[in-house]
Amino acid sequence: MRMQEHDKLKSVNVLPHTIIFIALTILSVLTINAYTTGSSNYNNTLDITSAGDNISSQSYNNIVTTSSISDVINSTSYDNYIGFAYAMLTSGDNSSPTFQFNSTNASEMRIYDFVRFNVTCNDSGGLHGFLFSHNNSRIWKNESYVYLSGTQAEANFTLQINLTRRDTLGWFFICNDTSRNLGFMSELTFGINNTAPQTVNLSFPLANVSMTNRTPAFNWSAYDADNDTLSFNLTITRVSCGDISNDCFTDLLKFSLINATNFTTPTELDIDAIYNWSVVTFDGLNYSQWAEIRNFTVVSLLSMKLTVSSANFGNLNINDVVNTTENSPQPITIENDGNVRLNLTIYANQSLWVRNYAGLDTRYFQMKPGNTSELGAYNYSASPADWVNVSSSQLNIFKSLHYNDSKDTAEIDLLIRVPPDEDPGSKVTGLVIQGAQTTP
Amino acid sequence: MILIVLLSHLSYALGVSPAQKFVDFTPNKKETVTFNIVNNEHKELRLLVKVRSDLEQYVKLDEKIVSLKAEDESKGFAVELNLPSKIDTPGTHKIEVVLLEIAPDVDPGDNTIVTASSALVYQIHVRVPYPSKYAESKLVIQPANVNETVRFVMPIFNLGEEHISKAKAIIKVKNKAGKEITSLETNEISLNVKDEGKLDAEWQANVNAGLYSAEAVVYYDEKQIKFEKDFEVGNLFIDIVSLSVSDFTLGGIAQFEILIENKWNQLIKDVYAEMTVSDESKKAYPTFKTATVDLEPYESKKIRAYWDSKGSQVGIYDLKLVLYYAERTTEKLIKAYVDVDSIRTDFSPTAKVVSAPKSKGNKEILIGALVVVLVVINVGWFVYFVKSKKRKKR
Repeated sequence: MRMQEHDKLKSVNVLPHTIIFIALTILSVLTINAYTTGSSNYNNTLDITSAGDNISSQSYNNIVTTSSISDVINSTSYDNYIGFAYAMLTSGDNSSPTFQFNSTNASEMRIYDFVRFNVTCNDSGGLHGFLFSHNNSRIWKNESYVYLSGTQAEANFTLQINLTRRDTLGWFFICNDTSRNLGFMSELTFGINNTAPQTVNLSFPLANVSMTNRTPAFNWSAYDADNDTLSFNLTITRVSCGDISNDCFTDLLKFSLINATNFTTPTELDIDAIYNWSVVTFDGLNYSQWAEIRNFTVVSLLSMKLTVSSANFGNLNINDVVNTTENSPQPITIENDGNVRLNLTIYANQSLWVRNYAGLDTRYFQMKPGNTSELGAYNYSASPADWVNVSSSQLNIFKSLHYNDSKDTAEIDLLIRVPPDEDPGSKVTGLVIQGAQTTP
Repeated sequence: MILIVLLSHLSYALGVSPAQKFVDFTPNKKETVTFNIVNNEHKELRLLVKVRSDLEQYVKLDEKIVSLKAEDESKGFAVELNLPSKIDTPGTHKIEVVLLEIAPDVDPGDNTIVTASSALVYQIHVRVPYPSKYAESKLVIQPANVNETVRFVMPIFNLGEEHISKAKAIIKVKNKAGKEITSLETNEISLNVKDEGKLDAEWQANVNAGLYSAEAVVYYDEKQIKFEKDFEVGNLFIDIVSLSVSDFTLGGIAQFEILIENKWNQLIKDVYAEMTVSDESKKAYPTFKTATVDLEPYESKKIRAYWDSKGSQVGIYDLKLVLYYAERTTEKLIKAYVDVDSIRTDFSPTAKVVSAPKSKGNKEILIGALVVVLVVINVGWFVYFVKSKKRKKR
């Protein structure tokens, strides 16, 4: 009995809560429903493009709606969905246009190609028009609507390809009929093929120029439509050489896989020789055409600089013996500034001393070839190794003095002995250092 | 006495471009040869010009004294040639045009001064044709690496009085033992009088690296010119093939056996290596120099280096091996993992264990001990399993 009463009491206690809960739930649902469907804060809009003339026609049973909240969303209870739908015919001709004979006029597509896309649309109730859809600009785009008529018609569109290799072009047609039925062709895709790089434009050296640099810099510009990383092959071919006994060594140079649009040849070119040069580029798949062939001439330059052109021994006493080996005064120093090796001879234009026995070709005035810090500048074995008397006739002093900046200097040490009975006063002589191109 | 003194320590430069010119002789030829005097230093220059040649009387100079202003980059100079109707000696006749700097006068005071001035020689080579057919050529070889293409080029000049209807060359490539490896034939050309042409051939050098020789014969009509020239394929190279250590105990002296191989086709003399060991703190032990050996072509030989490991710890050491030969070096840096009784190295291509033989025994003991431990664990586990089963039954 007690138990029953207790249960009753319990049920009595629970019931109001349950009722309240149900009531509140119903109320909430109704409230939400009211706000979502009947609120003046919402606009129900219809927005269809290119879907027919009369959206309110009875032939549609499914009105496309997108609802947007035109006022402030101040409730967290709402989810806002944006979407689209399209209208469907419910009566009359229900069949969509069909497609056949899809094709393009190109089996391979490359950037900047004009490609014509075709398909034949069929509809027994009569065609109305078509759209061409593609991702040529990397996002999908519908081209303008084009009207068709009849039950079978060709839909076509010509497109200039903007995609590059490694891209894929997707395309399809959409045809509709006079009953507004839409037919979608299956999407077709094409991989975009590689476009060979354009022919390189040669910049420097200019055509038909003469230069004295035996390791000239070459410069060019290149373009690849696919924006691929390009490498270059440079070919330098000698057309003629001037001096077979002295030159004509570098006949053909081929440099490949150059990753820049400039290159300085590490190999010396022959002098007084005419060279052709050209460049081809490679994008990893295809080569460009060879660039035009340009020619240039490497002209010999004989040039010599006396970087120290005199030695002042100061005021000397009789029997003094002085020389320049300790760089006080400095020895005569010569630099080959040209682009050919030099043979140097030396002679004096007059005796340094008054005394006849101490004239030129005596031990009273001597010289010795020496190297500067640039070792290997000349052929040591073909040049005097010790002091030699300075003469009025030409003596070989340096054989084959190099022109390479790293070893193009040499020095001439001088030694003078003052005769025991030499008259006091100024003592001057002039040396003439004569350079000529080294010949075999 | 007129004292001609150059200003002390001033630099004087003089240039001539081009340096020379070739003129082909024809009877009574008149030709004006021009060249540029280059004023590199942009200084006032006065030059005395004179001619030296056995053809001196046929040369007329534009000027005897040439002056250049400081702003002159260069100045053209003309030499007129009025060649005779005949020059008896065929070949090249040289005309030297000497340009000598005229230095300004300076008073030397009471000093003893030696001055220098520069002179340059512009050369005109008058090429008098040889009677009948005559050509000059040279063999230029563009060497290559193994399996690459060696190119043989022979520029050829027709310096005779007659047309050359056919010129080509045959090149025999030989190894240093004189054995013919291949025979190549160049293109065939014809050469008009005074013309220049080019004969060339290529050879895929699928041979070992080494020194080879080319014997070329240029055939032009019924005449020929012979050349012989050595050339290299690849580079003279001795490889360090392997490194091994025997009977090593830490604290003792490690004997490294270095296997080297001559990759060149000629005897290489006086080959030796230096080995420097340094520990992880980069402290280097004294460098050891091996004995000197000679290597026949392609010969492999072992040389020994020693390292006193006294006071050294177990750890990773750097071995620097430098092989010296024919003014070249081959260098290898090797990591050595020094243990109590072995030295393991990362010598490429795969890591190699080099150790004393007794370390083998140690390994066997270790494996044996491991087996015993595993047996004990298994027995223990089995006993425990049986006992616990009995307890459950009770």
